[in-house]
Amino acid sequence: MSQPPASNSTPSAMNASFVIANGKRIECQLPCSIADFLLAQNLLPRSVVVEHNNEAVAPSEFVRRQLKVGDRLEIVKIVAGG
Amino acid sequence: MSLSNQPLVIAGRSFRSRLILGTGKFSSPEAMREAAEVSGAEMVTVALRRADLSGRNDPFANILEFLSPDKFLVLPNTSGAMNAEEAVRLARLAAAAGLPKWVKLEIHPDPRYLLPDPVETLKAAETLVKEGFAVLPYINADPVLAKRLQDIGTATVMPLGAPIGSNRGLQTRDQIRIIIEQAVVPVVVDAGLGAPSHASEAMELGADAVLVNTAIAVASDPNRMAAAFRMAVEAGRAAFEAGLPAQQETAAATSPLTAFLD
Repeated sequence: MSQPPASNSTPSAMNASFVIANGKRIECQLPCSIADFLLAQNLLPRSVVVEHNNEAVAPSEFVRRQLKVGDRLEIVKIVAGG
Repeated sequence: MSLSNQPLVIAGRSFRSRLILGTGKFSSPEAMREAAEVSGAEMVTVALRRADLSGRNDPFANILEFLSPDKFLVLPNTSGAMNAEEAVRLARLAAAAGLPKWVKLEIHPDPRYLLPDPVETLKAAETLVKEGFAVLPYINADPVLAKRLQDIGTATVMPLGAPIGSNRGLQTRDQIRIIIEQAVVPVVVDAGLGAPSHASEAMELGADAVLVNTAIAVASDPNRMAAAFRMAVEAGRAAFEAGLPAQQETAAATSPLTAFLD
């Protein structure tokens, strides 16, 4: 591509603000804590379990643990099951 | 009064009840809570599922609000895991969430029969035992696999009677008999028990406990079915402890046969 990027081009990876949660790209205000992210998704932090970049996170850590661009989250619920 | 004299001990924890209840398929969490109460169960299973991130209100209630940790050991399962790695991740997540470090290890990728994958199950069990989990593996009724699992330190083995939710009873009876004979950990018959008589049969064979879900959850009156299973499990266990008589081919009189009228 020889043309310089237009001034109104889509945001580059540098200023994008997203994480990958449950396999989907989700735009959000970063940096933020896991607790902030959950509330922004309408999820009560005490009702879910979170894996952050493949590491299980205790709920007591949700407020302290900060998210960065491109972090991977798995957010699961404990549900009825046999 | 409980008919059973010996408590069930799994991973150092003692249970009076030998009926474990699965919490799935009930019409509501309230119905599940009532049936759990009536069943006398002291251990109940739960599952983990990806949360709905669509921003809608999640229709699934938080099941833990309906299960007092004082009354029940809440046993997370790894249902949904397609392989050992996913099962291990689910177990770690449940533990991180504050559930006991116990796991009902189940890996059944094929949705038609939901039969457990023995290779992935053994692999996951090795990892989880090393990490200090009490591992209760759901397996096909394979005595060799059961031995391998207890050799690596699982807390129980959980052979199936018939496929999950099939209600067909103890189709694997002969294999389960061998598993019980060789067991050095409790044997919990899990899956396929569709009637109290099936549970009784497993307990009479010498199973240490049974896990029941569908048959209680889908009954028109789950509370009465829970009571029926509770009694059946107690009756079967009491019969086993009391010592069942040997079967024989011919009759053996129970009254004196000396001639009376001659």
